[in-house]
Amino acid sequence: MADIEFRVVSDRREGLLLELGRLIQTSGFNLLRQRMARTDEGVVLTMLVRGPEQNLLQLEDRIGSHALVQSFEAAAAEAAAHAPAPAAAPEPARARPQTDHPAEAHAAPTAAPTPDLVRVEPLLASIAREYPNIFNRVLTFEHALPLAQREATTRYAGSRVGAWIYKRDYALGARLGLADSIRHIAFPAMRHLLRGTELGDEGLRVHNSPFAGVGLHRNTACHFLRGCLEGLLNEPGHLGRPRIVETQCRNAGGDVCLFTFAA
Amino acid sequence: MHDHSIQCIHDPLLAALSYLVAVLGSYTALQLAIGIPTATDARDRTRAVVAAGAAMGGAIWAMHFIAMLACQMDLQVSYDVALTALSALIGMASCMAGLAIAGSGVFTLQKIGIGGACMGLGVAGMHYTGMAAMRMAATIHYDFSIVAISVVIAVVASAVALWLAFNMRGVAQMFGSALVMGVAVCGMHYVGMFAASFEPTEENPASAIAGGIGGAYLGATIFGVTTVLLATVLAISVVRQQRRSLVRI
Repeated sequence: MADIEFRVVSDRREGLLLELGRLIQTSGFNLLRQRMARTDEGVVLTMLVRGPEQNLLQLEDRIGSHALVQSFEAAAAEAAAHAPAPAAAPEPARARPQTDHPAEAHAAPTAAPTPDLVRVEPLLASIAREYPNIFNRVLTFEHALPLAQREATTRYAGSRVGAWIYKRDYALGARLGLADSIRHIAFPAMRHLLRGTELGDEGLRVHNSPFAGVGLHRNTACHFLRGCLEGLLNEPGHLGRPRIVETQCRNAGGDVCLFTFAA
Repeated sequence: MHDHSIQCIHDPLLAALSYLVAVLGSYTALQLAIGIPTATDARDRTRAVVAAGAAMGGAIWAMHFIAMLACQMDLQVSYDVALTALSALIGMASCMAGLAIAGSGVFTLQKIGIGGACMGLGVAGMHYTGMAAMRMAATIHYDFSIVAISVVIAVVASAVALWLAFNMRGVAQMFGSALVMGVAVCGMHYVGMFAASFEPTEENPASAIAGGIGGAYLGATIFGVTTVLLATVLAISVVRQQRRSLVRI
């Protein structure tokens, strides 16, 4: 069991606690206490929840993708006790935007590299201006990162971009299952970024990934694209967390970069 | 059809206009409808369902009566006010039901089938109630096998339009669904008209049409509905564009 404190920022007070309370309950957690306050940021709801640690990523995903949630932060309850008072502005590097990637941004018990959130924000602002011609900027950004941080940081940036594309261009319409989401959302969005993209039986094939053969990684290199696909498919919030793997990469000697999907 | 039945000759320009109005209304309605799954609470969802259903029902109604104005018969015709209003309500209510079903939860073909059936039966219900509203010195006889075909066309084409609107994204979603829904509405109507034959009666034409609304009033109402649909299209386009530009990365 884990005690986690969530700090959620929303622009609406009505129904916020009810909606999030339902998410907490359906994820197997109990709401221990909560408080809500109107601040300069918007409506801030702080909730202390307790539940199985293995469900935490799912809960974070659900909260992060909820339409009422603008941004959120999550911390272990002990850490939260030492954190600044809720009214204080959050430290920029730890700010958790709505489309955040829980697996990476959450204070994980493992020593896996965490994304450099502070460096990502300016990149995202540039991407929003230059979309869909974004790859020169992403490549320059990735080159400037320490080797150990490249995968986590560019994958995180990609997931933010994917979520943003989803909300801009693909949010209207029915909630689709995974296969239809790949066919009607992930594939056209990726093809808009990279024309040499095909959808086959085995997955999404990218013929001209700009990340291959540029000396960024030794093996698979298209972490930004993988993140993008994760953002596109995770943002609707009803697919759980589909697993996206780059099973073949031109950077590692493959004919194409191949992304496979599993529910 | 009997030898002495009255012929209905459709004015091609008005017939084309009826298709255009059907497509315009379908576009408006389906653009409103694809917001149903993203509604954040019950009130938003109800608002989206009512707006989309009203637009769709209004479009079907306007299409029907433009096509009736296009139908030139050697016969004076007026329309019973209550039945004409009822026909609009039938169209709107069934479209609201169909769109609410199709837009709820995760997309399935079953929901599209049920939603398409609701909308198709609504199109047919609107049409045949609208036909029953006709006041004239004639009676209408139907060939029921052709009536059945008209209903099948409405149901199948509505289901396809819903599938395009909810399942697809991009151009096929925006325009494909509206063009197909236009086919559903017009296909049903014109096949339904082919099923009908008008047999003259001995009734005095002036007394037969007394108390009903004539073509001039109908034209003004159709103009009003079409103007509202056009204004809604414009408003949707502006609001969507604004929302899109405000999405934060």
